[in-house]
Amino acid sequence: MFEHLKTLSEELADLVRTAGESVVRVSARPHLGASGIVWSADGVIVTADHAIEREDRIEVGLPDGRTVGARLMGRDPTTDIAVVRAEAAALNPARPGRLESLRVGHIVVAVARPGRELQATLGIISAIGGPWRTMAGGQLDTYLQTDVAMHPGFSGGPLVTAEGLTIGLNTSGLARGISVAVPITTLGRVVEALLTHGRVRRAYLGIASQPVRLPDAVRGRVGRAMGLVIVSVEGGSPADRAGLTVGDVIVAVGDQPVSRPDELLAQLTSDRIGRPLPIRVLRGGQPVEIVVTPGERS
Amino acid sequence: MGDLLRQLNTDLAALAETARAGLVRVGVRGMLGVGSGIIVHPAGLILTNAHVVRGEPVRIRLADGREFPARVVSRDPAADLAVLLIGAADLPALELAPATPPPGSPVLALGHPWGVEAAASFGVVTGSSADETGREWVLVNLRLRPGNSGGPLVDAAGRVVGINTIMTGAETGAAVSVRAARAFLKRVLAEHLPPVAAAG
Repeated sequence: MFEHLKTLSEELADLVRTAGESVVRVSARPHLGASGIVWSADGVIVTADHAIEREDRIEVGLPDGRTVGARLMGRDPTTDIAVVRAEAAALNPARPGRLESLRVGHIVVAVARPGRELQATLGIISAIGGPWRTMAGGQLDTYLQTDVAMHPGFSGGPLVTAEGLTIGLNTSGLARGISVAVPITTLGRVVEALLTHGRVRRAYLGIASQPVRLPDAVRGRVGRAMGLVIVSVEGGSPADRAGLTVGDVIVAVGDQPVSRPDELLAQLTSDRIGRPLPIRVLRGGQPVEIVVTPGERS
Repeated sequence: MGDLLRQLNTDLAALAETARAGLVRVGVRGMLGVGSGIIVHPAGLILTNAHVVRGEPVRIRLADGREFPARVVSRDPAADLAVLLIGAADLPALELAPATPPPGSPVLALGHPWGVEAAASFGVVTGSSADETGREWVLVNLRLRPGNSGGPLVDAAGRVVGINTIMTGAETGAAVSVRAARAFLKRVLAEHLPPVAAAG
């Protein structure tokens, strides 16, 4: 009776047990533990940045039941990724999957270790799309949404395919009400940056801005209804040195039009640091191009 | 639709049908309060949550529509379990699983959410945990609602792995584990069965 369902049941339990060999508990906040993905055999663990509330006395609970100390290697709140190094060796790294083979409807499993014991839940891929910017201004290479319910302590754990491959990091920190995972490609990029620099390097102008409606006369020329008006300029900053002033309305950075603060942030990637960057502004209603050489955000 | 999905659908429907036969509706004070219950013995023993039978009289409606007055044999609010007895025989009892299934196991929750008759919800076991009193819970990614309480959580083989008890979030619930239910039933039967029968 119910042979296919029983087979599914057995396969899911096997899948969870195998994937769980690469899932650890990360304790860096009071009360509730979070999960982490074993990234390398020598102790690199990837977890959710929002689950790291203290930067010292971090503990990692290993699949074999041992608890070891861990050191924070770097964190990036914009993509909700943090990397810690556990004092452990001969761990079982998660096997990465390929996003190209994913389709909406594919079965996925979220595996977690909020306490000593392994936990898991099931869902399907609900949506998969192009690059997506988080509310904190981070860039995810692929939009990856599932209908997996995020239980307490599941943040930082892997999203696993039916083949047992890790395609993302589960987090409740990126969107409200829906489950958006950090895709494996973004994990790879950010983890490498965090291990090298301790953070994700970002270019820096030294301004604060807010969206503003453009005058009718300019709208057609710019092709957008909104721009970013500069409301403050930090003294001695790259923007200050280049001559940007309060009241200038930014309409484009490089050749990309910008009309929201997150669009501006997205342009300030690490490769812009130290290289002249043309910024198009409206000054007294007239278009002006100003070349700024961004510094590095400290 | 592929073969496997078709086969899973057939299995799920058959599983729901089997589990529904062992599901009862528990009404308190003329069906004003509605909960669910599980037939655990063909001779009329029914397991439910203690919080489902807070008042009396208690009536049971079987899946085939027959109704019976029920006697509350034992009620343990701490375990949130109760055993009821009705005057019926040859009932389709559900088998109790030997242990809590591992995380990832598919399960069906049967019950009467918001009074909807014999509804089934599909989910998986997310884990199990013990609370501060030592009670063991089976955690599921299911939307349990009022009226689900006391109903069976069954595994892929149709065996009871938990008694649906509380919603812990919008999409998560918890069931009293089959282990706790077994222990409770054993205690109740030892107290209430005639000594000779218990010894036999």
